[in-house]
Amino acid sequence: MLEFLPEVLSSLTQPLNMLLLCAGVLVGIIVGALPGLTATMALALLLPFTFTMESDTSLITMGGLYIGGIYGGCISAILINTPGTPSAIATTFDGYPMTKKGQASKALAAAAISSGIGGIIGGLALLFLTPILADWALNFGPPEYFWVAILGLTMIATLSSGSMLKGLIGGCIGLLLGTVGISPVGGESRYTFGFSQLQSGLELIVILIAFFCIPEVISMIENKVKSQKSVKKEKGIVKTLFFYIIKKPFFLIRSSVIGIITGIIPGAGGNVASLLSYDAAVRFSKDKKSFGKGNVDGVVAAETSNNAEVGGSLVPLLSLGIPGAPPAAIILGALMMQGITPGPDLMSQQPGLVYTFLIAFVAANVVMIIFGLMGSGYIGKVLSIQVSYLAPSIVFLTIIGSYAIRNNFLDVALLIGFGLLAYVMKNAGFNPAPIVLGLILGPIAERGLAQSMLLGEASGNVFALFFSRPISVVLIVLCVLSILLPLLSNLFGAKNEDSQEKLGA
Amino acid sequence: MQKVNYNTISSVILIIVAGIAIWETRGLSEMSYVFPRTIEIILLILSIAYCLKSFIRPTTNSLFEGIDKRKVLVMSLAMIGYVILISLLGFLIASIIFLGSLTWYLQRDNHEKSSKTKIVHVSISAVGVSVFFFVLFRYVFLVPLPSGLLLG
Repeated sequence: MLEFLPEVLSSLTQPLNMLLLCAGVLVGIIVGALPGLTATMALALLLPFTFTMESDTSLITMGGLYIGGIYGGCISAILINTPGTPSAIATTFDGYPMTKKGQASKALAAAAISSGIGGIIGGLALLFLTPILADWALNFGPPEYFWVAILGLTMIATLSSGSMLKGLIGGCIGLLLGTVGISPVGGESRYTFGFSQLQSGLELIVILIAFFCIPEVISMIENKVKSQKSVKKEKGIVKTLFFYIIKKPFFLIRSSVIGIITGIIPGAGGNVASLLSYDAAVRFSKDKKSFGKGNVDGVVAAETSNNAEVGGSLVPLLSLGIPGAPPAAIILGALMMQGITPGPDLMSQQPGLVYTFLIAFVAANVVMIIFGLMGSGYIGKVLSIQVSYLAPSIVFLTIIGSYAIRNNFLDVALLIGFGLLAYVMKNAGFNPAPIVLGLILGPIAERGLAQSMLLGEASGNVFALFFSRPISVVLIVLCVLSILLPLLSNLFGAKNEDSQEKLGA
Repeated sequence: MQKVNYNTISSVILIIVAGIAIWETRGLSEMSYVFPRTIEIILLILSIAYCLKSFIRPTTNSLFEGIDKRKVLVMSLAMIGYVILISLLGFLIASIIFLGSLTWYLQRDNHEKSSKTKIVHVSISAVGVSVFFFVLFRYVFLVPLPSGLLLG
């Protein structure tokens, strides 16, 4: 890694890159703070701004936006009891009670410090785990890629909220959408319905914006902005809180590890990370009863974990080309726009770029702490922006983003069409995450399947190629477990409930 | 008679989609159809399971329960109209019309402002936002924006 240090430093010390890193974090915090505007949406909306940038500048800006967006969610969670992003859900449990007790400034400072620490630990994990996983992934052949794709889908289908059956159906729909265009191995045109623009397939970013932004915008017009409590500044609170937090290393590491592991697993996002970490904080606390009533440890646990998850979600993206969370999927789209294909080869082909991004990622967390401590009270003021202005402006920005990718008007029509479909599907219980991951993993899985079949036919045993290689066997076992474990836990959960009901009767 | 719930309707639509998708793979070579057909068969099986589940455990709630359907319908139609307007009038004019009309509609419940104030605020924001981003993308970032059939 040290041999790339001069390249990393020359890129990071460029004034434009430093400026855009700070701007990315700040804009991310503002967008993340607005209820209904998730970190995914922040990245999707601001993607067209990065089209004309150099690849390192674009990645640095996107990293800053992602970090700022996840942190920003805590501001509205603390001030108005509404998580700005889903990952801030657990922050409301103790953050808002603290605001009601007049401790909003303490809660915001605790959130900023713990988010920064969690983010830096997540960033270090990203820095050290990515090369290891990428090295391991270099041993993958077509069958392993096929099984990795299937594992990603089964995990997201079972881990994302709602019914598992609907999650699996969503994954299949995504895989099917991924087959539109020219077949990667056969070379024939599929499902283009006479539109020559569809020969190159559905544009990933258009579908990402359609599934993650349009339903949120439509839902947003239902929201009523709650009144915001005023933030009174307390002197010396930052220093006191900083020492209070860093004197709990085990607590911080536990919350961060939960976040990193949750991030690496596709499908389990920041909301799962913060809830698991909050739950662990309550379980291991000596003063369980104070949680939910304004205990600062609740805020620290949730925020450390959801920001550590950001680094975790980028590990499979950079090493395998599989995003660990929806915002990482947008970063995948941004990388592909720049002509960069994430995966194990990225580390060997463009190590300077990867390390620049990884170091910038850690630096962005430091910038986030500074902005968070200095301005979260002021940023909270943006919560009063009226939805009547915000919702149409977001649609306007999504149109710019979808058209600018390949100057194709069909993409604009597809954005609105798929966006409306996504809204109806979301209301019917189909989570957008499995559909989008299906679209991303579809081509990986298809290439893996077709190439494995050709290799198998050449060696005379297709079955052995798919089911007997050691890494494939491990992946198959994980696929089966990821489907069976939730089914079994549901079954036993239902039985336990039945027996408890009978006992109660 | 039992009311048909949205899960049953969704599952039937999915079964039809899977059926059409399988039909569309006919005539393709093995390497082109093997993956989509495998996925479509899995989708068909899952959709049938979903259909059966919708009969065994029917949901009692409706699809858009607790949602202001009128607002959602207006928003959806406005977005479709926006796309049509862009294709006819180009991005800038279509955006001014879309932003102005939708913001105006969404402000109808706001009784704190007079109608005149609302018109002024809505017009300034619609023209301001549209022109600012149009200039920013077209002339600063050099990102092309859609032009219309009637106006550029």
